[in-house]
Parts: sequence; structure tokens; C-alpha cells
Amino acid sequence: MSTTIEEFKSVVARRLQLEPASLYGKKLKLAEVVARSPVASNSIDLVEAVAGAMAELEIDDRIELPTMTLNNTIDDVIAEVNNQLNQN
Amino acid sequence: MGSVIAMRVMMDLVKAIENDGLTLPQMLRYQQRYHEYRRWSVFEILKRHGKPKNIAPEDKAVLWHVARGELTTMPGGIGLAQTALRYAKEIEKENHTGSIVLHAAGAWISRYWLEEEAHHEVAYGTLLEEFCCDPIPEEEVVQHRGLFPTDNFLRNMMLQACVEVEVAVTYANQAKATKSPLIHDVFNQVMKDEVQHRQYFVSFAQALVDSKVYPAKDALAMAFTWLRPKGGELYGSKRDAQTPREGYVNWWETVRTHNHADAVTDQQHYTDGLFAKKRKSILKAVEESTGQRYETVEELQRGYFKSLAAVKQPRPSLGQERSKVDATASMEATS
Repeated sequence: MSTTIEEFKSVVARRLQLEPASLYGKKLKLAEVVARSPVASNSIDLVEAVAGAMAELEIDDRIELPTMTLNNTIDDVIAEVNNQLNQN
Repeated sequence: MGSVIAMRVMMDLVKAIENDGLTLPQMLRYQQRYHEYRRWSVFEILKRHGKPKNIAPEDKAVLWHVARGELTTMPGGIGLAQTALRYAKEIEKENHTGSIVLHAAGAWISRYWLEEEAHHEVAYGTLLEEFCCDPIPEEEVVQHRGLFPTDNFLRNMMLQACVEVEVAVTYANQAKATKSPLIHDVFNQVMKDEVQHRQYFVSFAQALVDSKVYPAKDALAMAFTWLRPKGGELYGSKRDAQTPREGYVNWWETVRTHNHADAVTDQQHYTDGLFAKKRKSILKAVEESTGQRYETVEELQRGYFKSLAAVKQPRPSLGQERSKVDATASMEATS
């Protein structure tokens, strides 16, 4: 079964222990995501949420981990992953 | 305790503590003895060579950077040592061995790492100010003294191991390239310290894994963060994008490579050969600390991501519940 971006978003949100509705579509900078998540302290924790979702959904062989700074938004990350899913 | 000639950084601390009865006081005495065995004098080296007739532009450029980078070690060491003691207290009832490891790490960082790093800061600062360039402005010195965010201590130890690799390779390269006997001797001496520091940080990382204070994946996380092909700390100021840091300096993000009087050349800092040496040493540090062997960064990435797949409901670990901070946080210090 092909992974949809919605599945990916759901797993990332679960790993950050945040509600998807409060996480996506609000142009939240990654620094703000760190501040809101009860389990993330810094950018490595964010990487682990995204990379962990890629591994859990078994798409890490075809998706490259996005390179972002804390000034990027979580929506930027999702857009980049979605773009790669569509291409691969 | 063994012959002084054969002294080296103690590895496999957890086995020694749990199987052989190694105690904290014994570790502390060994740290002191090794430190005394390895000491050297900045001013004896400078006196031996005297004032050089001139310092080459390539040497000046490196001195401009390393004298600033070494300033960041002091706040890094102070923060890490204090954090080690705090974490040791937090887990002393549930994990005695882990607590003893953290005490040993805190002692070594506060006593010996900081003292040895003072040699580096003073050696490079003196060369810079007395022999070739403008002194570092006082406000810039203060800027480099910002305290770093605290984090998961295993990540901290691996980060420090990566930083020690970074500087050891850089200093060795400069010692080899320079035509100045003075520059050679100072960089070569400091490089030897950095190699030893790398091993100490790896030893503590290994012990934190073996004593189950942290899972091995936290060591993989830091190595991957350092080495990842796009955006890794290894590429420092050459990365496409940098996260702004507030209150502290990650010196490797500030290396000047173009359009500055003090810019280093790619040959001095960014060659495939230098990157390969750094990658090899960091992958070796991963193996020493976790027992997991990876020949390439791609293999490391697969192993790291695989370890994350199983963690579906992460819980904050020691150090991750309290510091809501930036980033590669804890990214610190020279050494």
C-alpha cells in the first residue's frame, strides 16, 4: 500500500505528541514546534520524529530527510516530503 | 594502576565497575595521574622558539579562527560538568553505575578538560596577539563565553567527541602544512590533547550506553547530525542554511572562507581528504561507544533510522524534559 502524506503527518504528530490540528497548516516554525511538543527539546528530536516516521512507514529508502533550520515551518517539511513522495 | 608509560584513557568502565570493583576514587586518581603525565607548558614552547620573524598569511588565518574557537570551551565545560553532577544525583538510586559514570565524567570535564583547554586558548591567543594579528576584542571574547543549552548527556558526549575530531584533524593539518617550527609545535601539541579528549568523551559515551542511562540510538543521533550529507555539522559554515544561535557560538558555523582578510582556504579546512579523516574517526567513535560498526555514513543512517522505527511513543530521557532550546543544542565548544 502506498504511503499517503496524511499517514506521514499523523505519525509525525504522534511522535511529537501533538494533535495534528494544532500542528499543521498554521505556519508553525520548527522552533515553535519544539516549544509546544512535550517530548522534543531541540532539533535532533524533530529529526527523530520525521526520520522515525519515515522508517516506521518504510519509506526511508525513497525519501530523503529534508534539510531545514528551526526558522523553517513544519508545513515546509511536509511539503518537501510530499513532493518527494509524488516524485518517487 | 600499571606503568606510566602504558597509560591511556580507560575504556569499558561499566565492566570494570560492575565486574572488577573499580571505584569512583580509583577513577579519579587515574584521571589525575594521566593528566600529570601529559602536561606541558605553553610558555616553555613559546620561550623555546622565541619571537618569529613573520607568520605566513595561511597561519594567520587559522590562528584567527582557532583562537576564537577555543574560547568557547570554557563555558561548554562549566555547563557540562554541572549538568553531569545534577544528572548523577537524579539517577543515583535507580542506576548506581550510571551515576558513578556521570560523576567520573563531571570530574574529568571540570578538572582536566577545562585545564587542558585553557592551554589551547592561551597558546593560540598569545600567538595571535603577540606575534601576528590584532587581539580579539574584549566584547568578542565575552560573546564566545555564552553558556550552551543542556541536553541528553550521551548526545553531549558524542557531540564533544565529534568536535574533538574536527579540531584534531584541523590542527594536525596545519602542523603539517606550516613552514614555521613554532606554529608546528604548538598545533601539534594541542592536537595530541584533542585526540586524548576525543577518547575520554567516547569512553563516557560508551559507559552511558553500557549502564543503560541512555539508549545507543542517542549516540547514533549525534554522529548522524554531525555527518549527514546535506546539512551536517561537518560542513559548518558551508551549509546552505544556518540556524541562528542566541547567546552562544558554534565556532564551526562561523569559519570564514571567502571575502575576508582572515579567510582560510578550502585546502586548509574543506577538502575531501580532511572530510574523509573526520568521517572515519567519528564512525570509529560510534563503534567504540555503541558496539555498532558502520563503514559509511549511509550505513550509519540506515542503522539510526532503523533504531527509530521501533520507538513509537518516545518518552523524554534524562536531560530532554527540561531544556526547550535550540537545536543541535548543546552544540558546543571546541576543544
